[in-house]
Amino acid sequence: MRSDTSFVFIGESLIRIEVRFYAYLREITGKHSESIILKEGSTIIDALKLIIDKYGEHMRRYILDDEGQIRNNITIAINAQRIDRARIEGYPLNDGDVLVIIPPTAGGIND
Amino acid sequence: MNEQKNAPSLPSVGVYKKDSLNLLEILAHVDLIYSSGRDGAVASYIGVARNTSREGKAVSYVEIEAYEENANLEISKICRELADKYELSNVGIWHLTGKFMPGEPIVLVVVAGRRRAAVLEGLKEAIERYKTEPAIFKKEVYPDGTHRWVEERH
Repeated sequence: MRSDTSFVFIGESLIRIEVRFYAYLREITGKHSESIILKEGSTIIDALKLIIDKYGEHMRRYILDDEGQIRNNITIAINAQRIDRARIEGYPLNDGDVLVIIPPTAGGIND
Repeated sequence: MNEQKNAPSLPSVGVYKKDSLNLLEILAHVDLIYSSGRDGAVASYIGVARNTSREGKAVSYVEIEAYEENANLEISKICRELADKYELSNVGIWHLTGKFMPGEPIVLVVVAGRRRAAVLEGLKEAIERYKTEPAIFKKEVYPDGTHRWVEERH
């Protein structure tokens, strides 16, 4: 039996997250924050890839080491909560999340 | 909101814009923490903007910025965990953000408890942790106008 619907459009659900930049990363990007659109089900790694693609080699070298892993002194926070390194790989993002790539900190004093 | 354990009259621990909190004013009122008589020791620490970098280079001023939502969470966590770990009655960390000339205070840590050994250990660990765990960033600006974001050694 022929269906009344000739074509079925399967729309991909999208999410919008906010990425904020502090310290040196703000200087690389020239902005405090930006919104990025990702497919539903995207992870922190997907968001980082998008940011690195957008800002290029300088950003890549700042975030990733020679093996392509997130540098030990870089921390990722979602909605202000630091995400354990072991959980970053598959950590799912939700619409409205705030992602911050936290550069190494200095605590405001010298040694 | 952060919670300041056992010190209802002092401001909540966390980060504040420079002009919104006077660290020395807090220090002048630490008797609010220990006046009950239950504590035998109070130790405090003030982190001050220095006129030289770690490498000995002259520094004109420093700028401190913070990812406030994270920094407040992390500072509260540090205070709570150290109070439990060392059985302290109070651990307070107040960190300012903004522009600081050499000699200006940037951060205040106050620790109180029954025993001095625990208080001094707690103070030391509080200082080490606030330097690396909260998302607080420091920029040194040099006399020639150049600057550098300082990264803590891990």
